[in-house]
Amino acid sequence: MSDPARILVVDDERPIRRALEMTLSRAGYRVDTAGTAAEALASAALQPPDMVVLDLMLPDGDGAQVCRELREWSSAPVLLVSVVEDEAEKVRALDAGADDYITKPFGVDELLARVRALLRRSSRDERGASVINLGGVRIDLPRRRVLGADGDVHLTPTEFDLLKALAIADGRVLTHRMLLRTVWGPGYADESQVLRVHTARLRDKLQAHGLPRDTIETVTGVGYRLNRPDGS
Amino acid sequence: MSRQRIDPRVATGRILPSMSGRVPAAAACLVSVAACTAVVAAITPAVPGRATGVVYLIGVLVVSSLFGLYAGLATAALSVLMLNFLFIGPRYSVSVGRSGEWLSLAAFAAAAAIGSELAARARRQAGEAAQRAREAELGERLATLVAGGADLESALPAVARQAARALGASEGVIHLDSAAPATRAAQTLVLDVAGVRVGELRLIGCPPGALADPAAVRVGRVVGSLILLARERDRHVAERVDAEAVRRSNALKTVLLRAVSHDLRSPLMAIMTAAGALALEHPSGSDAELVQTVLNESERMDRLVGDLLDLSRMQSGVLSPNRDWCEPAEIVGAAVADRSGRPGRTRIALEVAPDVPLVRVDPAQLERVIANLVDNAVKFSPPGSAVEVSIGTVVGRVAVTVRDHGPGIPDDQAERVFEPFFRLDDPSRAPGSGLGLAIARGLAEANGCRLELTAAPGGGCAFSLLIPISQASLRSIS
Repeated sequence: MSDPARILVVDDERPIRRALEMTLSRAGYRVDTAGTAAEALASAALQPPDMVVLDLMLPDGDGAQVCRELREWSSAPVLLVSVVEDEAEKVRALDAGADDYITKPFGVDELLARVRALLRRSSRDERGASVINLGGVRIDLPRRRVLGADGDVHLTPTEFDLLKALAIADGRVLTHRMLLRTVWGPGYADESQVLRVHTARLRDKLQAHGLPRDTIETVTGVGYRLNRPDGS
Repeated sequence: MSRQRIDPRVATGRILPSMSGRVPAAAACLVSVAACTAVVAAITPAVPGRATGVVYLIGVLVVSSLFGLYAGLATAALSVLMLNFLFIGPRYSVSVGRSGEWLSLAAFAAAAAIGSELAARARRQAGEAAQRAREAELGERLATLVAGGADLESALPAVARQAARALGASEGVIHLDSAAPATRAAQTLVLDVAGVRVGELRLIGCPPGALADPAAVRVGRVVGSLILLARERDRHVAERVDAEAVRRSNALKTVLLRAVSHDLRSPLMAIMTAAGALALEHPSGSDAELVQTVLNESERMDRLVGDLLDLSRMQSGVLSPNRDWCEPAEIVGAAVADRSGRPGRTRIALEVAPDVPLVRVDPAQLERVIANLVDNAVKFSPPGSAVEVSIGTVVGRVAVTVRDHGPGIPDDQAERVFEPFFRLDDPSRAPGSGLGLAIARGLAEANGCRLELTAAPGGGCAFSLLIPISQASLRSIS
């Protein structure tokens, strides 16, 4: 690794900010900190971070708003830090462009695992990639085919689009609304029933071809995420 | 009734044909005939006797238009007699001489009868039209009172006054639902709408017979309907105010609990992160143990804080499930995934029946329910045994059953396990806050589900979560 990745930690509680700063520094990252939404945006503009760890509750604005503004000029992955009660806020921030979330209080191991996964993903340049490997099953995007070790996985066009959306997101949490809008269209953003049924079927078919059931992971109350085996 | 005196001013405002007294009608009849006779006597030398009938005819029309058909007919009969006796030969005798005289007398009688009938009818119709107009005006005034925003209580005296006037009474009082003892007096108009008794209108100085008229029934209906309408509106307003109060109080509780949660968890978060950073340095010996103790106990503290907050939320009634269509297997899968697969843990076996329908619940809350049940089962499982989780359908419900092979729960304590802080008095039991099952049940009920403890054949206990299946639940959407 040439340069250590630069991580911006945004949290209004000073003790937490310091603890996160030291933890991430010890883990080998360069760390900037901010205590408010305004500071966060200023710092990100001055020193473009490779990743942002963002507390959902800030004194001068919510996480969703920071995500939205940040996304206008930065594609750095955003990891939300939230408490259990913030379900709706969390979904809004994810819809606004955050990549993943972690629930307070969390263990350091869990935090570092998420940070590593997000950084790895953002450095992996797959624009233009036409085949996505899920380990045992490959998705051929231009031909709209899914190939298992023992032959084609037969998917309906909708199921294929759903799998494709999850695969392209590459481990990011996609909220129900995002998936419905992408696969079915803007008019279907609230038809969660449709999404559940198709996800269940898609899982059955992938499982039949040897993929673990949590390849498509349920993020309860939020959405879905596609887990690729490490190293693929 | 005998006290009743007819006040002409009130009489004009009454419903029935107004001048209904017999005495005035008879007097009018006599006066009319006498006056006509005088006029005829005055003009007789100039005008032939036969033509003088016209004068009597005028008298008949006047009487019948003022006093009705019967007074008119009586006047006509008397007029025929007078005409015959005084002016048609042979004079001063009731007999009629020539047949021509008979004819003119008969023509007069017929004209007088028809005339009385026409005049009486016109008078009746005018009376009815006036009454309808008064009723319409009454309806309009009452509607304005009610629609104007006045509540029923304060509008009632005005309504009673208006209705009493329309019925020709001097004063009126409305008693709702006959709250006051009903006086069975004739001056009480029952207010009913489609057979439902709304109340009654008690009248003071009401003309006799006024309440027997169909118009009174109409007035009663109008007033009754308006009272019902106003009452309905008052109820809606009250409900809206109540709902708003509940909403505000819930919003306040939610904000408070959130603030408490934040305040309690922030220090824990700092402790855990700091301890975690220390653990990264791979401390050895007692340092490692101390750091691990800080981490473990902070986690335990956090769970306890979470449980207590959930309990407060349940007891304040602000759980407010965020319902959505969910796949039961998905919720259970997510709850189980966090609790299995690690070495040294109790094995969790999951069994899903085919074709389990979607349910409409708050997925995060239901996941907590299952997670608490699984945690509880794991806690009481003897080493080497498995916790069995199954999903299936029973009549109209999706059933999620979590079963362990532990010591089980005595029958007499079966319901008490759902009480907060309840612990079986058995020192060998695993530690815990005693809140897991209470929270599980609270969350289940907030989502319209039932949580029951059932006897498990072969020992251990089985908790069943019964989730209602929505009518609109679809399994297949193409």
